Amino acid sequence: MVVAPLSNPQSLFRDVLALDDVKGLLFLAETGQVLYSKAQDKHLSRLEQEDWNAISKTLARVREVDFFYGDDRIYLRRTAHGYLLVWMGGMAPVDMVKLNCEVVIASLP
Amino acid sequence: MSKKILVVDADRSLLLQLRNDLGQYRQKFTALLTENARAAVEAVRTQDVALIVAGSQLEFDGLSLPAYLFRQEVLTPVVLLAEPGQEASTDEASCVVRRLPRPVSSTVLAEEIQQVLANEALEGLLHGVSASSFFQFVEVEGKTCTISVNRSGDGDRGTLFFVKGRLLDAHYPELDGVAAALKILAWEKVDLAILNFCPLRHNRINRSIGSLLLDAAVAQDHAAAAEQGVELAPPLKHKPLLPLLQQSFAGREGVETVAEDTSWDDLLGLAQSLGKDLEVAPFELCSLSGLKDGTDLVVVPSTPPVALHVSRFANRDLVADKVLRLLEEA
Repeated sequence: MVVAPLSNPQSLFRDVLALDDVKGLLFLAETGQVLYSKAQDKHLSRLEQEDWNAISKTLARVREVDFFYGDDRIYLRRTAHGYLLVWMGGMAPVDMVKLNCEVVIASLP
Repeated sequence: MSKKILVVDADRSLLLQLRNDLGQYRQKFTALLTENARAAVEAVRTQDVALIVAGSQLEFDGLSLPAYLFRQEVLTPVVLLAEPGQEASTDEASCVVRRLPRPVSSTVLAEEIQQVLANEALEGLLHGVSASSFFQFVEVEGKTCTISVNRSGDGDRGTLFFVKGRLLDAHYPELDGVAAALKILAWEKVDLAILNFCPLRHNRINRSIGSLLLDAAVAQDHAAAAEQGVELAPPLKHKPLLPLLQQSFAGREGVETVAEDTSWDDLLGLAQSLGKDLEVAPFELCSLSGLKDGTDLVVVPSTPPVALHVSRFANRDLVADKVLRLLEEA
């Protein structure tokens, strides 16, 4: 199944990316197809190589996951279209990031 | 030097045609031909066959011939002659690297044979190498390969399956997955036979080579100590966290239960992998929300993993923070 590209994704995710210490954002279809990607760091693109299809059954059991790595956090939010991943540093306002993600998800087609 | 290939197909007229036509390639390969699956299995066991051409109609022991051979740890690449309409690949695990639709001309088949021999057939043999260094090299270099690992000196044998540097699976007699990988990665000096392809696609392991090597080394230390009658203290990350977390949280902070839970192993594997991708600090724990039973979860990637069920009325971030502080002090 080919997921339709997002219209104007830069505008869609601008507010999330503008928050302090948000290092990158990745929006993937369940199959792992990249729908949108933006990062200050080139390493984010490596996440696209994960086998997202293989993990989709487990991720279907939850709405969202926070992964903790020292000061860094990856927030993964499952949506009807796939997965929204936000990579944050220690200074990121996590609640604001999550709130803005909910606003974005609500406005997705 | 001419390599040996095995052609097995139920169509006798095809075999006769190939016997005549493939003779001109004898400088590059010599073909053994049979219409019998049992004879083919025997030939693979007794002869040094670099490639198998197999008709898709052949079965052995209730499996397709390629699937049977794979189950027997025969990792010789297979060119499958498929019936029209059956060219698409299946989920069946096998070493099929090419599917050619029938009818197939000798020229086309010979070209495919030569390509496979050049690309996917045995890449190399290494003797007496340091296993840990080599497998980390495969991971770092992002190689796709199947490695047959023989423990130097005693004939113990297993197989590791890599795709783009990720260890997908491991096989050892009576063991698969992480258990087999830990067994094989504990060997110090090994002989390796490396094939330039991987027949598997599903990742059963979801852990880095580094973390598996560490666990394998720890298990080896404990086994060696046990043989000498010495009891080692468990390493820091394997300290029994369950009693500590139960003591700290039972009935408090909105935590309803604290228990071992291995059902999130693949998620924890993903977390490890994401952390490695981004080159951040080691993965510490994850917190999950939106489970069907209405609770939230904080999962600690210990051995085995421990899950704290947090009431949805409680603050799972606070629980996660407290667990992190406990882990630092532990």
